[in-house]
Amino acid sequence: MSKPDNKTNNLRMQSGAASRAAHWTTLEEWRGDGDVARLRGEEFFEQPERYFAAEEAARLTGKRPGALLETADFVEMGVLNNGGPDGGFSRRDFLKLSAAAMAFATAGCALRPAEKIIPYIKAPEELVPGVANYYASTLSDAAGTGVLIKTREGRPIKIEGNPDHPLSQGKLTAAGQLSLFNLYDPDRLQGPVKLSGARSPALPILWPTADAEIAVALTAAAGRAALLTGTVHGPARTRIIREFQAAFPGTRHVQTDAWTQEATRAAQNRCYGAAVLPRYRFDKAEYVLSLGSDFLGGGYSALEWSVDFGKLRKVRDGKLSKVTVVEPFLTQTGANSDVRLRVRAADVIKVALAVANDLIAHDPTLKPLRGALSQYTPDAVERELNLPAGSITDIAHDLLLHRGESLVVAAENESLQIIANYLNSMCGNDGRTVDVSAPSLQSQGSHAELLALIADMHAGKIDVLIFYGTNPGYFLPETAGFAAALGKVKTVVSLADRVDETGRYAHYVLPGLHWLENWGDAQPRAGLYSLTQPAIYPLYDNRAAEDSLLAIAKAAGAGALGKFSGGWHEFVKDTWQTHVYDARRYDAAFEQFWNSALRDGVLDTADGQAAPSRFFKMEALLAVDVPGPAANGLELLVYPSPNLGDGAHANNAWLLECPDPVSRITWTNYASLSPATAERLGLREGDIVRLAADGTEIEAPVHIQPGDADETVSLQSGWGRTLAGKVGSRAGSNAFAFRRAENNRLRAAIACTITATGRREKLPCVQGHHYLEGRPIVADAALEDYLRDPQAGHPHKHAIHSLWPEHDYPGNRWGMSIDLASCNGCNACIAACQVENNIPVVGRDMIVRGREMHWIRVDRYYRGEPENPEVCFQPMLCQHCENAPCETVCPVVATVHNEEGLNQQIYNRCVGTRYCSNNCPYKVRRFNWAEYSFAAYDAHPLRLALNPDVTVREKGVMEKCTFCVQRIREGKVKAKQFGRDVADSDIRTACQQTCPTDAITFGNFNNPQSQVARNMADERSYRVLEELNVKPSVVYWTKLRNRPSLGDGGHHDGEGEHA
Amino acid sequence: MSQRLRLGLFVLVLLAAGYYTWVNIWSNRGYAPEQPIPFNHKLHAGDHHIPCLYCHTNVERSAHATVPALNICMNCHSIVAVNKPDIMKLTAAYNSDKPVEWVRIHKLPEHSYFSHERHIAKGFDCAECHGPVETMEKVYQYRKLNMGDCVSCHRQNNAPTSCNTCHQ
Repeated sequence: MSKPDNKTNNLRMQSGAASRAAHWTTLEEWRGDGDVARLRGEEFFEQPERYFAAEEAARLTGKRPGALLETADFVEMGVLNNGGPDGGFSRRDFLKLSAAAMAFATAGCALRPAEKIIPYIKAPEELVPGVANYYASTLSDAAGTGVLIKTREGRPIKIEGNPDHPLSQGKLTAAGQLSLFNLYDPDRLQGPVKLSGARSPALPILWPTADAEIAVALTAAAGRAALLTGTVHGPARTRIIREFQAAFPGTRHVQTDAWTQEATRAAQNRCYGAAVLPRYRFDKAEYVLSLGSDFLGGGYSALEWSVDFGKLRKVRDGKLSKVTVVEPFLTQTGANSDVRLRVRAADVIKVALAVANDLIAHDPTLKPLRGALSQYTPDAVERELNLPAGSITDIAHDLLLHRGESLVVAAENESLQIIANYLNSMCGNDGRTVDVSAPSLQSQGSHAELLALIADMHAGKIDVLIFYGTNPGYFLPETAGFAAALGKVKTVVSLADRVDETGRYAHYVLPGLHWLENWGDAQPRAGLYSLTQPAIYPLYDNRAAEDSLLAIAKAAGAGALGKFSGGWHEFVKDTWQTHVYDARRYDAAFEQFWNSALRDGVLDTADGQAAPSRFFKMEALLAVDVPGPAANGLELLVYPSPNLGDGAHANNAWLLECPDPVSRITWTNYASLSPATAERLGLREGDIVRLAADGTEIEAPVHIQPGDADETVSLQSGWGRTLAGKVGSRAGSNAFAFRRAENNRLRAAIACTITATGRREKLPCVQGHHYLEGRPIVADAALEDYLRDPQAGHPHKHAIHSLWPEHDYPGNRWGMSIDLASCNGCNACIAACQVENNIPVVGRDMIVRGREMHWIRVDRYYRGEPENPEVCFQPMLCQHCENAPCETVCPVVATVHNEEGLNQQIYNRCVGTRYCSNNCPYKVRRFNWAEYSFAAYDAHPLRLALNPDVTVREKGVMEKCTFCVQRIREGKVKAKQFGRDVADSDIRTACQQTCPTDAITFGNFNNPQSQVARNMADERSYRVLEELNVKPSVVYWTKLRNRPSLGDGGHHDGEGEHA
Repeated sequence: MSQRLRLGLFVLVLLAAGYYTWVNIWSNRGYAPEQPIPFNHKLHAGDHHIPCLYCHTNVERSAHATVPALNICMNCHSIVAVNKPDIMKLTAAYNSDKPVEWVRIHKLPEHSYFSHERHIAKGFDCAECHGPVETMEKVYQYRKLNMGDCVSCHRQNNAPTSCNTCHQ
């Protein structure tokens, strides 16, 4: 954290350069400003006398030296409580604690606490207590991701990707995995309620009463009714809406989402005559050009694309795919690019036009177009936007070089989409990497239709409105008049699981089920069917939204639904029989077909053949908005959160604590500024500012983000919910407030102003607790350097002599390798580890103090100048060192080495001295400063999410990565049953299993045939801080970039000397 | 006998008694609580030779041997001894969907994980840890089942003794 006087530091100041290593984590470190230099000097107490002199001076002046921030600063920021006049805890607290301690001590003495064993009355056939069951299902998100649900004793405890499902391929995003905690959210409604008017108290109501009242209202409405939902696909989920419309003729159905893909569809329609969402084949794209699209973090099928993209980010016979990203602020995709062009939002299109112009120059048949584009020559655009010379011609060159195996994706903007379509058609990508044979159905929401519905509501044309799966009360700004329009509707029914921002205007809230309790289906793209099945009985007196539709129709006795005898489960099954099974020829009987569909969770009927390429309508190019003159003022860009989605996950503490992939900030959104802009405005990291644009104002803390375009403010949406629940209603501020209803303007830049409030807070960032101290932690190299020398970019080797006798590993020896070129920083490993190992959340204040609990973290490093740095991600976990420094300092032998190379942490032996953490060079040990687990899981029903195979840790205990020792044991047992050695497939750690890019490999490296042993033997592998001779069991593979060599070396580069 | 010798002996006895208490205080050996229905293992496993696995069905495939579900009891007791008062209690529980709350006898120390499956697969007899159950009218804890007990048996049988064999 910088001090006020750092404002005057010139960003381009080179003072720190002489001692700077290639990589850096924070701007303070890059600048090498005072605090960092002092910390570096103090690390080993090189000059004790100077240190003590400073102490003495501090005693005399009453100020503390050495601390980056004074205690008073923390108190001012509200991080620390002052704790009474003398700063400690009071006598009363002491007495209370003593009494509690006595009570616990005596309770602990009771020899035989009677415990009950309560067996089943009639045991379910498939359930064995102590053995996990897995069920295939489908996430309820619009992407339609197939998953496996792990249940123990009937409780879902983990969500994993379904290996048979083409969208997940066994992998899952952090948001998908942590959505488990939404099921156990204590703030869900526990039964139907009736509200007498907007914002009035919710009173319980009986289901039949509610159904009857709504049925009467619907019948009376006589067609003046509407269903408002999020994106809906899947044969049964769409059919029930059709049947409901048939039961109540005239009922309108509107789909809307917080973020829509209307521009993509419109551009497809203009260019090819069909408004479809294409399926992008990143698994076939050797060259990817992104025109402002964050396809890894925010696309409509982001997981599928991450997995496919990852397949080509592995070196295959000297080949590696290449990615160029043109974007206004640093996104996850930009962080994973090989070449990144930093331009303002409005200038992305100029780069796109210049690329098109350059390509046309190679094609004599396109002469007429040249005139229109003549203004955008690569040279002129490069000069205007201050881009490196040749950067645009390089893009055109790469596109030409990879004809048919390149892919251009663009931001959700019609003009950009048209140019991307044109480039794809021109390079022969259409029909290869852009596939419309089985178009995506993953985003069908329409903002325009929502606006039309609101207008009709205003006009009094709607008497009954039923909505589920969408929350416009949150994502529409007040100016849209949605609340007033709802006031004109006689009966508003919400089927959401709580009284949310829309539900507070409803007359009835009939709480729906979490997807883990519910039946359902999905059709993420044409021909791909996916089933949802319940993994637990509904926790409360709630009912599936679709069951509510059925019950209302039945209460009214209307249409075919009114006669339908079964519930929603029967309806799904019936639909699959009539719409899926009967439509094709299957040899098996339907029951057999249904059981196998339930087992697999997915049915892919597409033939996998890409459609032939389409004809691009040249006149579409005429619809491209020609960019105006360069804008000067500050611009605001709002973008979706990868964790919270459209805000639906906002009450999930695990997701709030899951860091942003790039900034690594948790628990809040923030106004992101480039270093130069922050300097111009005189703003520091953590300053709270007021952002204003046409009359809308919100407050947010400033984050200074290297790589952002100047004069651009970016702000994440999904935060700032007001009625999400206990944790979600307080986190961040609502960026959707800046949306303007009339033009759905969120995707474009908004002119804004920014003023400091004078207040400041420390941002809860998990990166930057430590500095690199100039040491080479992360290694990266250009592809061509690597091909010349496989060890390019490595720290240089040291001659090491060991003081310790070697360990003996007679059987297995566990180790891990991590490919830094594949890791895209997505946090899926963090989520998997948390769910698998019962890792609690610790809250914002603890993160600010550097006390996060994630056993595996993803460190983000920058390289190069802060204007546009390159980014490296490095997952960091316990390295299970052979000569582990933690083991030698533990006074109670609570952390010891085992015969399989694991560094074991024994919780019941640990007394919490924290010596081990102090001595750990990788800073991967986590300490329970408070009763985190009790706080996180004690609210019923959250404790149902605990994995019974892993100890729940209590206050005062150190913990860390165990290499998923419970999975190792399970794998060993499995191998023993078959009387063979452990194979690679027997044991997969939680992080490895879910990694979308297969960056993590785990196994027994005593077996030279194992993948991990082969990876370790590869010349590309290196160990972090090898010179300490702690001999980690984790190796890393150098991060590779497919761009020309910069001619730089590795370790000690620029340091000039070496002791 | 001098005063000093007597004092020394007293301290020694105290120490020995202290040690004995310390070692045994952490064990529930001999624990035999009253059960809601006085199930007689001697009658079932001893006199009638019903194999352990007939009721404890999951011992070969799960960490838990599992106390049987009531439907297993009802396999026989829908016909056998139906008018004895305890069986009537059982039938009533089964018919009214009210589970029987048995009192747990064998409980390992906290923080430890034990798998029946592995021990049975290695060929250990149930009696190794549970004792002569077929002679017990009322089941009691036969072994100490504390850490020392586990570790010494693991040593004798060359089983792993690294910490996370049991603590994970």
